[in-house]
Amino acid sequence: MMQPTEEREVLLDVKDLHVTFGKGKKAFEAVKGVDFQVFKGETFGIVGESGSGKTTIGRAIMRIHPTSGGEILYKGERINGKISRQLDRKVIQEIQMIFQDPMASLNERAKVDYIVSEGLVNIKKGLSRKERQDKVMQALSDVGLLPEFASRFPHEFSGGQRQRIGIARALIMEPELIIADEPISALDVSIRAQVLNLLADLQKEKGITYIFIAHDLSVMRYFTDRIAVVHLGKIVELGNTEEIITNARHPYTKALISAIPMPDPEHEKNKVLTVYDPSQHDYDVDPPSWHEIVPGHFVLCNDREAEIW
Amino acid sequence: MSEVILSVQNLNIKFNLRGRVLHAIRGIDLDIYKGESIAIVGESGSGKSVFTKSFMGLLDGNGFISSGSILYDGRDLSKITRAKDWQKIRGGEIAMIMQDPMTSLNPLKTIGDQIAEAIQIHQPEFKGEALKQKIIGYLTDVGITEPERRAKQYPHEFSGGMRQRVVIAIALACNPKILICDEPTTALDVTIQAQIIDLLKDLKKKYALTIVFITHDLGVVANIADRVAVMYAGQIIELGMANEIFYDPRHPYTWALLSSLPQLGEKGVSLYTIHGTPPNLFKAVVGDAFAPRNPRALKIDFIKEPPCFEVSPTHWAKTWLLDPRAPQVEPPEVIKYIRELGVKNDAAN
Repeated sequence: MMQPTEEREVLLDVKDLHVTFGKGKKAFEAVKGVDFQVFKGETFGIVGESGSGKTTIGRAIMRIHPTSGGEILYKGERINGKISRQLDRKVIQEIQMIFQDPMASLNERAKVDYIVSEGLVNIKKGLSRKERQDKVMQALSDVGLLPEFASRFPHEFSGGQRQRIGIARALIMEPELIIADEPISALDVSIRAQVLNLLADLQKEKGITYIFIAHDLSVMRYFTDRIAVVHLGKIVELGNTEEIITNARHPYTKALISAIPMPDPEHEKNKVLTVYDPSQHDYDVDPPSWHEIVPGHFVLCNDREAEIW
Repeated sequence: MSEVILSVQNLNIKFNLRGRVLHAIRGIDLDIYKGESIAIVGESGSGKSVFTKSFMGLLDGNGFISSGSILYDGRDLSKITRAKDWQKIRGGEIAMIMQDPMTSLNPLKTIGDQIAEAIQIHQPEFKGEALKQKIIGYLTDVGITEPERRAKQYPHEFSGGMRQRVVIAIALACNPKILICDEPTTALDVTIQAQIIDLLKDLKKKYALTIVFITHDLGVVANIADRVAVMYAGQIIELGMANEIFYDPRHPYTWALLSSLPQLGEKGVSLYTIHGTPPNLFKAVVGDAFAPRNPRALKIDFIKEPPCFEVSPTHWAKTWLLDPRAPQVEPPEVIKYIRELGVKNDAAN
């Protein structure tokens, strides 16, 4: 139902993805049928509040959470559920993840050298020690860290530097797709800018595709090409970032936009906060479906709402 | 906004760390006015939390006020040493909301009991049925629906945003005059953050509070702050009304903080970043502490510490750029666009 608007290479195709936690009565469906495509070389944003399922989507693609329905196609090959060992290795190497909290995501008892090269040890077994070290140095210099940092422990670094180590660990695998799960929310504002610039530069140099997961639309607006707005396990709006922000249709997206804090006192004092109330929909009577409002801009709504919005 | 409620004069705070002395707060003068909300903004390690913790005697054991005074209600808080004297200030006069609502509540007590505890200490005249009504009143004020039922629940039954509301209710139950909010929204979603800030604004009116709002994110404070103090390396380097700080900032560090905000970034263009790290406060700082990271630094910045130059009666900045002899240095382009950007966004919504 969602076709690429222009002829671009689809790197990742997620079709009707379901993720369920627990079984039987206690089962909880965190992701309820999500469809989207990620094109090669773009930055695709997934935005939503805590509990919306945005992280679960990212983790399902990483094969951390098993899926309960639907398909995830990477370069046309199905990567969810049971897959061959060979494909598993390929996926592990080509899809990497950057985590939110640089204080918690690095092994405190290992040196940077080991943290960064651990993936190589498991996947590229044939490498000599020298080759591995060269790769670590290259990855460290790519993220703007000095080579001598390799022999230090994580506690010797600041939050921004730790996040760079996390990025180096992903880069060393030469990934095609990086899933960045709130990579800057735990950082100071001045450090945020550094990490965002670094990610943007790496994309330019290496043509990496990003899936950028965050709750903050202001960062999304600056950083992503297209975004999917997720609410309670469903995508409610999807499209070109600028189009979505200037021309949002779904009330939930509008609520997220109204919450963006602006560094402008006059604007903020006159700001009216929109709060999203799901009871405004009459989906019991008339269930929602995908409507393409402008080419490439999709909204989840029923026919009546499509008219009004 | 005329009566001074708390006056800090030439405050210096030092920490003993492994035999060395860290000079965390390096001479701050600040008058906080009754009924205002003042934001204190700075990077990690700028001393913003240490500064406000000293109002409540909450410095770590190795920290001490080496000189200066904190005048509140006719007494000097910096001279208080006995825990018993602090009990009269903490909560009842000055209350604090911490950053992480997940760790600031007791998981073993119902939230009703936790609010009751604060009321029993600070407003002992409320007992029995009146106490119950008071608890429900506070929960209603902080926007918790079904307060009777929710009062009997435990913290784990609340979401992050709701927990922060409970923490605020407990602070209010102490009946304070000054409410210090230390990064109260950093751990929360953007939508919840906006709601909490709106709530704090409402409560400030209702309870006639003075609010001190600490954050590292200048983007957040435009909404709540009447005045903004920008801190760097243990000093306030610029102070002014919110409009003055956002529309007419004068210190290069304030420029840098504002221009690194992604809200102002243009897609595809690198954001401005502040290079280097803040100065090592174990050593004496020579000249302007920001000079080594400031691409626009003048020669004198490395030699002599700048005084506070007045921009308007309510606005000053500690930078040699404001000296009449200094060369004309224009602020970054992006600063000039802040006002226009606001207008554009209004139109878009």
